Amino acid sequence: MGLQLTSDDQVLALAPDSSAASAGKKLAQTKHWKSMGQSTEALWGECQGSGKDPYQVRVDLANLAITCSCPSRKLPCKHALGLLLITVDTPKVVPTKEPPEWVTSWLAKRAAVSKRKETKETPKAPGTPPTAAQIKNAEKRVTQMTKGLDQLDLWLHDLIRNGLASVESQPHTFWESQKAKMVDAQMPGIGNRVLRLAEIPHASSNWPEKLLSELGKLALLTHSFRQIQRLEPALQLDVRQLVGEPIKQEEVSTLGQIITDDWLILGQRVSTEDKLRRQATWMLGTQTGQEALVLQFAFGMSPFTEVFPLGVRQCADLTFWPGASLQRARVEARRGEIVPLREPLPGAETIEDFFKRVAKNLARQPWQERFLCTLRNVTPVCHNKGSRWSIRDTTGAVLPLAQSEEQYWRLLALAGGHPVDFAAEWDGETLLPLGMLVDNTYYLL
Amino acid sequence: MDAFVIAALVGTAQQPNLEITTGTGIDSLTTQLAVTEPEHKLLLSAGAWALYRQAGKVSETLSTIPEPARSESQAACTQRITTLLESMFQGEHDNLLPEALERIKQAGLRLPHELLIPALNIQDKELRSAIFPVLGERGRWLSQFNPSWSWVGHYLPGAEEAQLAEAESIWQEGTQGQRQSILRLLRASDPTKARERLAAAWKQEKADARTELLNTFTVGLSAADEEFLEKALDDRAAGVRAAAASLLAHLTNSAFAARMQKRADAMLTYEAKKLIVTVPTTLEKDWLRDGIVAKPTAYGVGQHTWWLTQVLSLVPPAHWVEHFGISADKLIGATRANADWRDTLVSCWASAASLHRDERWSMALWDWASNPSTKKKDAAVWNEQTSLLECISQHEAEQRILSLFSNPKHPGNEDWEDALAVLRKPWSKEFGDSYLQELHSHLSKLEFKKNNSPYNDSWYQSIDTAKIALHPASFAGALKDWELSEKSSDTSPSSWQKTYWIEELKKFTEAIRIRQRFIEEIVL
Repeated sequence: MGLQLTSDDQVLALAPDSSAASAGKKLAQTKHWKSMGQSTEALWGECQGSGKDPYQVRVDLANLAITCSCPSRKLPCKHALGLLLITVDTPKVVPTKEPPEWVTSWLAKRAAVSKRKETKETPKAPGTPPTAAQIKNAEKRVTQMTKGLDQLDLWLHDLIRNGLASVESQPHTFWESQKAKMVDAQMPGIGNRVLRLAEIPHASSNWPEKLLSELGKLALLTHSFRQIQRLEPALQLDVRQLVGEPIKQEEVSTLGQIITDDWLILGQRVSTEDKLRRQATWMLGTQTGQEALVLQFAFGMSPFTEVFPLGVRQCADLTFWPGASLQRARVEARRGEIVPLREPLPGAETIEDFFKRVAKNLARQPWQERFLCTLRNVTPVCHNKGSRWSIRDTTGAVLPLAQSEEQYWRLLALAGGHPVDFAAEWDGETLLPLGMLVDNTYYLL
Repeated sequence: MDAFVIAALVGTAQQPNLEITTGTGIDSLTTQLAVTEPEHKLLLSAGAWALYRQAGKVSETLSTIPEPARSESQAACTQRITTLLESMFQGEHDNLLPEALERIKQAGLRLPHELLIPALNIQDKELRSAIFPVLGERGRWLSQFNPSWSWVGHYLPGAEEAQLAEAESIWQEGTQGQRQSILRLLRASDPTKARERLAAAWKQEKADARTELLNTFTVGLSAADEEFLEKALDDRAAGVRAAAASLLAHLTNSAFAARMQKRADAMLTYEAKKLIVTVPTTLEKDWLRDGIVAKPTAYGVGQHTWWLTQVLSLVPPAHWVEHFGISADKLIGATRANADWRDTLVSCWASAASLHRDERWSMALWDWASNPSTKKKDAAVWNEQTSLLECISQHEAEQRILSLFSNPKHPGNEDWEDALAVLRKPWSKEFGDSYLQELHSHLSKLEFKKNNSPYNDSWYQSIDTAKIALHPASFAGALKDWELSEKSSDTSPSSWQKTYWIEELKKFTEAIRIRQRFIEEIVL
């Protein structure tokens, strides 16, 4: 297989920030490296740092998994970036040879872990009857959930009977305790929806409308769940996941659809909640036009397991979570070379077209909240000295950008009031920019 | 407000039998609902209604947007240069920015768009002047949107000839900064026309604007300006009066200069090889008109010293040579016999030499102070050493700094890095080579003792200047390996002083390498 990266730009697109990128460039000189080597499966090198022992960098070429023995929490760290840059620039100085023990043992460990995962995921042979304990557990679960749903309906009805004006005086525990009840009833998905309601009152001038919309959708969800058999099979899977019934990896493998395409990896957003970091990577299939959301989770400062180069195109197999509207996916196999984005983005020509696509997705799965938005020929516009921002399509329609601490001056500097191709996450109200293509260069935002 | 929202806010307890219709397909769905509680019914229909509107969302429209930026007429600098500039804007080797930006400007290039934001965010005034010419169309366009980038509007775009062609409209409609710029340009090409322009507008200008505009007269100042300046001495604004006085002081044949000389002559006499100082007891009104301030503004300065200092600092030092008929050297030497006024006289002459850019006197004062027989405490002139050096031609000034290197006990040796910093840049190749040689020999003798801080070491301090001042012809000498003395590394291999030196030398060669890259990448 060998290294699939072929240019500096691609390597630098992997850098977690610009300081890591520039430090990596400095280490891209052979004099810093005690040893280097590559094989069909791996790339490795030993970089002499300030300490006694050199730092050991290992790259699994099958999926670009990278590890380094240095204490840096950045992934990839400057050592890994330096090694990748040398390999891309001057492949000859990195000899092809048998990997040393510290590389082979690491590869073996990785292989063992993924095998263990696979065995775990292997669906049980059909026809194996569930054990008595399993049946009992499932029954217990159904009882708990039904009780939970009854309780939730009571709570919802109380709210509406007394009027939404009453929530103004409710403390945060009002929402929290209701969430806890839902988690106890094995419905964490519902619980999270309840907790998110707490943020709505007073956050905007039209909060009663927003709150009622969310309460209404929540009621629709529980109503659907109570009569789940009446729904189409695909939507049944969505509703189960939304309520919080975990979909097992094996179900994703057996029920999920695999789509092979040339995927544009358009951008990434990382959010943190209770020390759990959630990384959302947005991809778009060039042939199918399918959007894909790849999620990774990591605790505290530990790095995410997989590294996605951004602003690039790569052929890959993606497995989509089963459901009526495909969105969440995982990368099954990467197949081709990683190529920086240079061509116009496939996307909607107008905001109206984009809204039509959103409507279609909502018709398939009404609880979907986030959508990938790629728009052609839109102009970033700065309002009122940078206090508000929007993008405008060629028909004059505008969509607002999310309020952000760091403003969008970079958008304005790069686009200069001219139309550009633009990628963002749409949350139903505002756009969270991911990247844009200007003069054949894709800039991450 | 939506009927559903009103119902939900009020609560179904108040209106249990409310029927809400929307006039859409939602209504028929609602009627099919097999639910009985009014709360449940309201929730489900409100949910459906929310989805209905979400799916049918229509965006707002914006009929006009600002004009887009014009296309660039200059090419952007290369990716390699962009990478170097990016780290400079982040503060790494930022002292190389002025030279780097100047080279980009001279090559007719501009900053790439991705660097415009850090460039526009620069606060330093001098750097801004270097940034403005390389902003390109995009940078100037971008600056209109952010109030903190309004400084761009104070500069005049385009070549000087084009600006002069637009002089009338810039003068009438431009920002205050632009009006100063155009007046300064006019002063350079046609001082009389510039003065007449200002004279015509003089009465309508505010006090601050009058002061700032008058200050442009430093360009192309001549006797022809005297009449206008003399009138400005009676201006109602103190700032204008002070500006006029300091301009008149430069005109050695003016009535103002003659009045100052007359006052000075009355205060300073030379008899029997001695300098005698007589200061009047009261201040005449005409002194005040000429900008002399009655009360000392500096702490610890007596009233008489203050008056004397103000007058003497304005009189060209050459006047005394003519007036007393003796040489500058002798006059300076004669101060020694007047212990009370010695320091005041020498520093007044030093300021006057610097004001009138008198190279002869500047050198005479410097050399007198450098004479081994001059005691350090006598040499008040060292307080003025940097301003004196600025009046001395490059070659002569470099020679004088070189003599400081070779004479460590020299009275001016303390803090000579400050004097080094005012030498003209770049240094001559000869001076740069000598500097590097001396630095080498200093390093070979360096001892890393406990109380030996690099911060008290002028050589350590001087490297910052060398980074930017070294002539490209001297680069090879700066790029060889810098080794610290062996004996010190044996005694304390990890002393912090040594670490500091190693770091500083590393940064030095790094800076030189960056300058080398700029010369290689941007061919002029």
